[in-house]
Amino acid sequence: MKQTIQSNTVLIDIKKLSFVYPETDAYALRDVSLAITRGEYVAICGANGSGKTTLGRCLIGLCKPPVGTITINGTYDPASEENLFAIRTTIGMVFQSPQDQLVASIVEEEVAFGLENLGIPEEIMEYRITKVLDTLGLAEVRKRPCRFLSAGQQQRLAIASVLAMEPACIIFDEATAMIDPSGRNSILEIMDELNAQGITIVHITHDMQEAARARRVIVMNKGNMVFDGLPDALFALPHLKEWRLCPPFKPSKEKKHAVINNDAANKKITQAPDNAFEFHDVSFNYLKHTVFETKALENISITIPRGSITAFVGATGSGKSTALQLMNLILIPGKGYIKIFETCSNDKKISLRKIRMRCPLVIQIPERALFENFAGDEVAYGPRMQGYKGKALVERVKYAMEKVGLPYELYRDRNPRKLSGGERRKLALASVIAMDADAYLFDEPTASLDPCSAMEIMNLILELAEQGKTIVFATHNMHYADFADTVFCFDRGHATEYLKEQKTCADCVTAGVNTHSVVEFLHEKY
Amino acid sequence: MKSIEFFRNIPFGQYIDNDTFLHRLSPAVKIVWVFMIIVLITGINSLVILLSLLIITFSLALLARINPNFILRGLLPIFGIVVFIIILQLLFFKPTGADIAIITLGKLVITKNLIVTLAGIILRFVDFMTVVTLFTAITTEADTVQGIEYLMKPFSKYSPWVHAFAMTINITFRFVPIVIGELELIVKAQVSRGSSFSEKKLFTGPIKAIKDYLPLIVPVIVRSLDKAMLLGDAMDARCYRSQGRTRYRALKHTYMENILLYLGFVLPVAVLVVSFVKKIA
Amino acid sequence: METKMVRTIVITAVLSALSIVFAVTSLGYIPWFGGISITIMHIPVIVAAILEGPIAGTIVGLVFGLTSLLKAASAPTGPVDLLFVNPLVSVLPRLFIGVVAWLIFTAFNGKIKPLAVACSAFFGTATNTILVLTMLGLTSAIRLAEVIGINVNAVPKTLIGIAWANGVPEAIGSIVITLAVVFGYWGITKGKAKIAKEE
Repeated sequence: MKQTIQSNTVLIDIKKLSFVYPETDAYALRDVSLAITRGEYVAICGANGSGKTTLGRCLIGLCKPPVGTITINGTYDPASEENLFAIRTTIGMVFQSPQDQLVASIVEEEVAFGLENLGIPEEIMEYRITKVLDTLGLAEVRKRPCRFLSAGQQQRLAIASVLAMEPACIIFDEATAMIDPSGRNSILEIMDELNAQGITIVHITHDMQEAARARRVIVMNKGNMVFDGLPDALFALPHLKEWRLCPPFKPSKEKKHAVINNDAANKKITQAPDNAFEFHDVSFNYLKHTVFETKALENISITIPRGSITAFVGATGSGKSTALQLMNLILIPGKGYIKIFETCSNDKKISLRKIRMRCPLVIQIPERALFENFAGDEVAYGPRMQGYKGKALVERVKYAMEKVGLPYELYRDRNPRKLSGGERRKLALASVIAMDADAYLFDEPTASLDPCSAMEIMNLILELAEQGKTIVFATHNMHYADFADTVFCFDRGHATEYLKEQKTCADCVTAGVNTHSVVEFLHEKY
Repeated sequence: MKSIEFFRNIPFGQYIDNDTFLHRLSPAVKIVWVFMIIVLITGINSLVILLSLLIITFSLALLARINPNFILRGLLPIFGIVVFIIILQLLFFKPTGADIAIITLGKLVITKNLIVTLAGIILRFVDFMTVVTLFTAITTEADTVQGIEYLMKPFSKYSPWVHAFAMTINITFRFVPIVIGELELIVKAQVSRGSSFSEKKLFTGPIKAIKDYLPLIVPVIVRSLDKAMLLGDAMDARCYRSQGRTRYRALKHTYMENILLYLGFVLPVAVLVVSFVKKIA
Repeated sequence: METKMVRTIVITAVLSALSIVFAVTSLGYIPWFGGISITIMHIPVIVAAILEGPIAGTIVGLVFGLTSLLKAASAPTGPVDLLFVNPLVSVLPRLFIGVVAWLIFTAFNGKIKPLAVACSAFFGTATNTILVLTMLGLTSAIRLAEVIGINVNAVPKTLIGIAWANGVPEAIGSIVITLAVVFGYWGITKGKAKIAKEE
């Protein structure tokens, strides 16, 4: 460690911490020693399953660390039940999923929840609530139900609730992973701001761009602490890949090349008259005829040729997920119709099931919806529905699992819930690849994955495209959008098309697409 | 052919945001009154009382500036079943000696008792629906929780579990949309991989319904339990404890609200006693 | 102690929420032969009892009862539903499912967990079926007779018939689902994937 640490300012002191989850045999943490001083801004990085989250959870006693390995504020040990209250008033935690950490149904009551637990008198509560809601720009939504807030706002609310308790340190456990770029930036700015006010920030993340904001980076790999130092020193290391990390993202030349090859292949296919998907003046409203009716898409007319790669970009709520679900006929257009492989969505006689199986949709964070008890069965579900049996079925499953790098023999009888984040995403992908469909729809295929896993998934998708499959994917990450032949930019229910060769930055701005990230991306690109 | 949207079925959110004294009235009072009216509806046979209850609730709805159409729309789903009851009663009702026939159509005899019975059943239904619709229209979920908490306050000195119970109700409300979201997610994942899930299971036969639903029910429950543990962590991290807490914006009753609260307890009991005495006499 | 309490609170709450969702989406009622439907609504109650004890089970049971009361009153699907607009039939019996399921689970627990869970599911279901039908017979035998069009004297016999026709599939379903849920939640999966049989 480079800093000279004075013992009286050490907030978190970890000595040789090892941790094994009950009923598993692998170390989640092994011999981790680490001290964090008051006022520091530390990023804890590592791939999915590297132990970084476990480390954070041990600090506030959500995982039970061995007695005596952690000391908080010089006196408290999270292994002891009596100390937990003191520790949790010193260290607050913001979790990954915004929705799953909100307790109350109204914004101000959410902030009040922590204060109520501390037993703070009502007048002081009132003052603190007003203050934090102002700080985090939530004053206007104070009386609104939490579930009507956007994911970014919900996460800011979660921060507000922790902040109101006036902790000395806040741990952000991948708190930005499920939030779109503009929401993410505002949260990162808040973190910087809080640190400037003297609050210790521990940011658990796998995004290197985010880690670069910290003043000190700690890298975890397979439960071991492998690096502790300045961000720039980390990014200069040649062996980052071994830890499944990569320096702040730059799309690699190699990949672009693959896409260009693909373009050539596409040209042949697109000469054929057929399009995979045609939107004809499609509009869609959620919860039609109820008080909650909301407009999602308005008069969209786009075509997606067979064998092409298409990216949908835009902020959360811009309609890109809706468009994907319409293409899979999970949602049915309210107005207009969609032609899917020459079949019209408004044709009364069509079998929805047959169309859906030709272009399966991989939903956002698809591992959430893994439902079988065994990985093999999960992959077999689709082909089984298509009528495959016996040898042919096993063949399909084997092929798909091999393809994503989860060998059939090894993974068939594993429980999907017990796989790591990256493996589960691959399993979800295998379960659609096994269907050997004509087109694949992906809703944010790389969301909340570490850079290496994300790249692996992206490569798999590009490989499918090379086989002549039509690929449509939605993404927040403009660098991934770069792999597509065509980019559709969604903004408040409208779509604008950008072909690869077009210089569209100016157009984009004039078209009123003010999605911060899109402008940034197009700016970088041209 | 319908879009897959489970949120359509969400039961909450019938709240109508008018600023009337009924909206501002303590939710504890509202809960007690609704509960007592339901007790009256189920316990009383007098048509006069049932009818006056209906008139009272409708006038309250008007005072809360709720469009009567809104309540009538809520009654539509039970219309079919009302017709069905009438037919059943016509077919199976056996007039007793002291009954007076009003209309005779061949074999069909419509008697006074028959009409009284029918009116009773229908009024009960309409009363019930009106009261529940009115309550949800003037009380938010958060208020409902506060009301329950207020009513349980006298007991909370005996056990920390009383507060825990109020917290449980609060979180139940929170989880309903989350669980619906989980359900929708798993259905979408399965449907997009070829499951023939259909929302109209009544017409698809039992075997198919079971085939569609079993692979859905287990993962939904397991995933929801996982989500519960996530929330549990978040509550732990924010120092949740059932004792030694304070309450933000705790419900405070005015003098008037206290009277209304006690009236809500006393009135129905009085009515029940009176009608019982009358019956004996 | 508080951590344990938080766990009980969130699990009870989520299972109550599941009961509400199953009721409003009518996922909790599977249409069965002969126009009647079998229910899986008691499963969250049993799961709550197994995971968190009798109080949790009773609370989820209360929620089940209330949804069944409200459902019968606001969106009845048949004439028998009308008789459920009576808390003695729709709410009271459901309060006992959790208690029985928990008693059986603790009695059998220790040696063979799957057996304890299965027995708990079976007796929990049986409690529901038997108590509801008994209360139905006690409180509204005459109206029941009217509604299904039989003689009042034949009511007990009919109720026993329903008990068999509904109770058996419900018990089987409940054992299968409860086992899958409880062990899925505990993260214990044994055996081989179904696909192994296809090789």
